Amino acid sequence: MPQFDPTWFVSQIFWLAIVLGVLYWLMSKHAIPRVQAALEARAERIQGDLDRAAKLQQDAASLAESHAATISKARDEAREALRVAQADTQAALDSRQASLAEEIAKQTSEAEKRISAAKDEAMSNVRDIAIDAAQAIAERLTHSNVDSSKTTAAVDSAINQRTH
Amino acid sequence: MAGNKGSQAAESHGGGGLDPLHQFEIHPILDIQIGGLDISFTNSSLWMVIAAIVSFSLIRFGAGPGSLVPSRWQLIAESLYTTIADMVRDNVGNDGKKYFPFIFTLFMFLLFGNVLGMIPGSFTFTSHIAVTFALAASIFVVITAIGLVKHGAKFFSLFFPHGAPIATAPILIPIELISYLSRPVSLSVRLFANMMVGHTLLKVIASFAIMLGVVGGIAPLVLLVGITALEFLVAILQAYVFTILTCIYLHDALHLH
Repeated sequence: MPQFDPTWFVSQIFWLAIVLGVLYWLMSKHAIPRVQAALEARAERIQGDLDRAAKLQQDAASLAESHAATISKARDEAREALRVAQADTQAALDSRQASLAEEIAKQTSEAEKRISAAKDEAMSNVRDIAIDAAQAIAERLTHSNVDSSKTTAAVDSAINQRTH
Repeated sequence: MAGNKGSQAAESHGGGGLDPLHQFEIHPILDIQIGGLDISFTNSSLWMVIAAIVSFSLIRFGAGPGSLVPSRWQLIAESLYTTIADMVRDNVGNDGKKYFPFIFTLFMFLLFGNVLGMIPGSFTFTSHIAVTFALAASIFVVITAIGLVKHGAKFFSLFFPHGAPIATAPILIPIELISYLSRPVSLSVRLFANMMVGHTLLKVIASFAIMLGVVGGIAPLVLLVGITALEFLVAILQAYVFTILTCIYLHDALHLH
């Protein structure tokens, strides 16, 4: 078998060492770093894209969140504005009603005063007429002078009896 | 011996006849003698250089400009790279990274040594025990040195399985020691024997095909085609096995089981 012929052992081992040594140097200096760089650049690019996508997604989510917050804030504001407007209207209505009621009460009391004054006046007129009439009736019936103060007292007591 | 070197060379170029072992014969291309040692550049050396050039070119020029989307050649270079990188990571561990360039060079050199040997008329330098043993023995020595430097005397705990009863030491230590020392032998013989037997078998069956003529030779020819396919598988597989075993031995030296 040629494999066990020692003639070429030294030559084979010598050239194996030379060739493998040179190949190792070439591979580790000029071939492996290129492949490694390409693989790393690709992995980095993919990772970078993934990171960017995750960041964009996060941005979109936070944007949607702030949008939702804005909408809910606006809704709250609108509700508050409506409530304030309602309260204002109610207050205005209440104050108008109150002032109206006050005015009505004032007018009523004034009218009552007027009525009572008129009534008092009328009553006093009625009393005077009643006294005069009673004086005249009494004088005509008795044909004598009747004491006017007696007539007045009698009429007053009669009025008091009627009104109370 | 020097006299028939030339005739062997001439004969080899003529086809080699029907001797199945003829394909393993070495003949010098350039005679070089230094200090009485014959270090002639032979057909074996030539195919080592070719394997080195092809494997370097495939990776260096296959990598190309390192495009983001790899070209076909770039994909081949990157697949080979990641296959061996994964092998080193899985079998040696993360501290095996610095040995990756050597493991990768070793794999590429053996892969192309084996595969280029499948070209008719070429020479398979991995079918020579001198080459495989020199390679396996240097790897063994270097790995043992790495283990000794890293662990000192603790490295010898490799020869006694952890947790075994101390009484078994007189049996276990010699067994482990023999098994450890036989690593370079098994590593080199596995590669050399696989490559030599496969190539011899191909040549024997091819001789049958020629001897049995056009009609009778069809069966051996069909067999030859099948075995050639098998040999391609063996060529790739043996390069892989040699490399993965180197990784495992390196792991043992770095981590002591």
